[in-house]
Amino acid sequence: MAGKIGSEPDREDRDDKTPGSSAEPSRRDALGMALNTGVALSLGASYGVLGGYAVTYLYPTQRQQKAWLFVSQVSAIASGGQLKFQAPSGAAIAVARIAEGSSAESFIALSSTCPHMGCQVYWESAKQRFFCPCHNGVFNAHGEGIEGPPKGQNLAHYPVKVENGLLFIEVPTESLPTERKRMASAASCGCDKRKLPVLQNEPQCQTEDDHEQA
Amino acid sequence: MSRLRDFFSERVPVSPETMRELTNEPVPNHLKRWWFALGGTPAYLFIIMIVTGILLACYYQPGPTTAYQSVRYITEEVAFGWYIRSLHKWSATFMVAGVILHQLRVFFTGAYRRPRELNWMIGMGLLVSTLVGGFTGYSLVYEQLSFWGATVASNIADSVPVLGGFLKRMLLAGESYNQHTLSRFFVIHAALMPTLMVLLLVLHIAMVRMHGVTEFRFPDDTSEKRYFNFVPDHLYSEIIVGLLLMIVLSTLAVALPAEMGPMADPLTTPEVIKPEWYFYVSFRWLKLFPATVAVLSMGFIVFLFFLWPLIDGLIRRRWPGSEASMYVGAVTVLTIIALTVWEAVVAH
Repeated sequence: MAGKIGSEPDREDRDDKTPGSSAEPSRRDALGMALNTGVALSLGASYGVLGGYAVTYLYPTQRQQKAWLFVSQVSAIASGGQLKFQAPSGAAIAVARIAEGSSAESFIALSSTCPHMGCQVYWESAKQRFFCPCHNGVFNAHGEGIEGPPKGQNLAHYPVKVENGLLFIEVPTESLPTERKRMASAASCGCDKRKLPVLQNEPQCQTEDDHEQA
Repeated sequence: MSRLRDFFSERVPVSPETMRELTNEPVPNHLKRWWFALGGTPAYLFIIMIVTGILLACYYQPGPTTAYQSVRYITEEVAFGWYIRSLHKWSATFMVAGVILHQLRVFFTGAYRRPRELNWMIGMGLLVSTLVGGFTGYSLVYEQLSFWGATVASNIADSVPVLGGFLKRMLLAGESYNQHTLSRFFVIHAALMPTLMVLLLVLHIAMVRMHGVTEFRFPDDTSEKRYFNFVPDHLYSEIIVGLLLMIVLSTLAVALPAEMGPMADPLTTPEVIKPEWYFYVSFRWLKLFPATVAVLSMGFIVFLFFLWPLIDGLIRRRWPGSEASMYVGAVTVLTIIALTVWEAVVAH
């Protein structure tokens, strides 16, 4: 049948050059197979490269901005004492002196982020423990997980260092908008609202101004 | 008129007989019972969500500085914004419930069995996509629940061995919640999930058309004819379902409109925090086991249900006529209900 434009030609009218359509494989079939394989590989490679670029594009490469910030003079914290520190990101950090020495090993800086699912822990002064409201995690005053799913895990420690009798802490400096708002209100009231362990020898809580001066 | 018909019939060369064959699927008599309309209900709700979602996207601005204020603007200032948002929210709730009920009905009637195994898996894909859509949806508001939900979800991803860190960073667009996180959630919610769901729905419906609907004979069905026409009989049923749904959704939107919770505070987790009801079971599960155990076991259970038609097939080949699926299903459903109720009634 002579096919007219726009109409479906009969199957008999089609020139079937599909490799392997004849009973005996020929050199032409082999070439066709090689060609098809090449086209398939090229197609896979080109779209694979695009996929690879897409993953690289989506995968965040920018590391969290961190900085070393001044916390206090070493002599201002007695052995066994502790102070509250508020990072520029707004994170509440408990800095404690755990030994007599003046080196960095004598201090720990405890994060308030639960290692289980990332929620913020509360200090329950009556029970002398940190409590995570998300999944009922419990930590002792040293940040060691003692109950619930994070049992055996500890609250993260921020790196600390001592230079010339001054204590520094490395903390994230990025903040989300609400954190700034909160910091402003914390600065205006003179103290962070978050409850941390009762401190001995507690100095004034840190504000943005303190950080800038440092 | 005939010229118009000729115009279209030349450009869309499908004969009326073929068109009737394509659209007028024979529908088994049991579909006259309303509870068998649960498959069509989520599809109808999906359309409402697409329409209301497009309308919400006209004003919504992803980003921690703008998201909450834009949702507040939609809810409190734009004309009928509260209604559109409430319809979207209630449709989502009903859709989750509808897909779960539909999946349960298919499970307990054994409609997933050979040759419909693949369609069950597509249905599971739709269920998971619906849950991901629901989660990313309430994450966009930038309320306290949104922020801490996203934080917990990223840590769930982080608990997966080997791939966890990569998954968390891909989800959050960084090491922790940051300026780019909400844009990513918005893309997942408004582009990725709807596209995936449309593709899965097309496949799902195509498979139903190819296999036909599983037929159930009820004792009180004494009619000689086993099937009735899709057009217009079943179509009318679906239209009535659609009408009833719009009445119920509108009533709920007026009586219990979507409200604004407290804005996200990345420094304070609320003392009592709960996800949406459909995640109560996983939230409780996370409280019962260490993170990695909880996440892997949840993933494994979902994976088992994906493959259930194949597992059930093996069981029934070994023990013909076995109704093990009934017991497995009953235990699973009762466990899910128990954990959900437990999470609902206690503060922690």
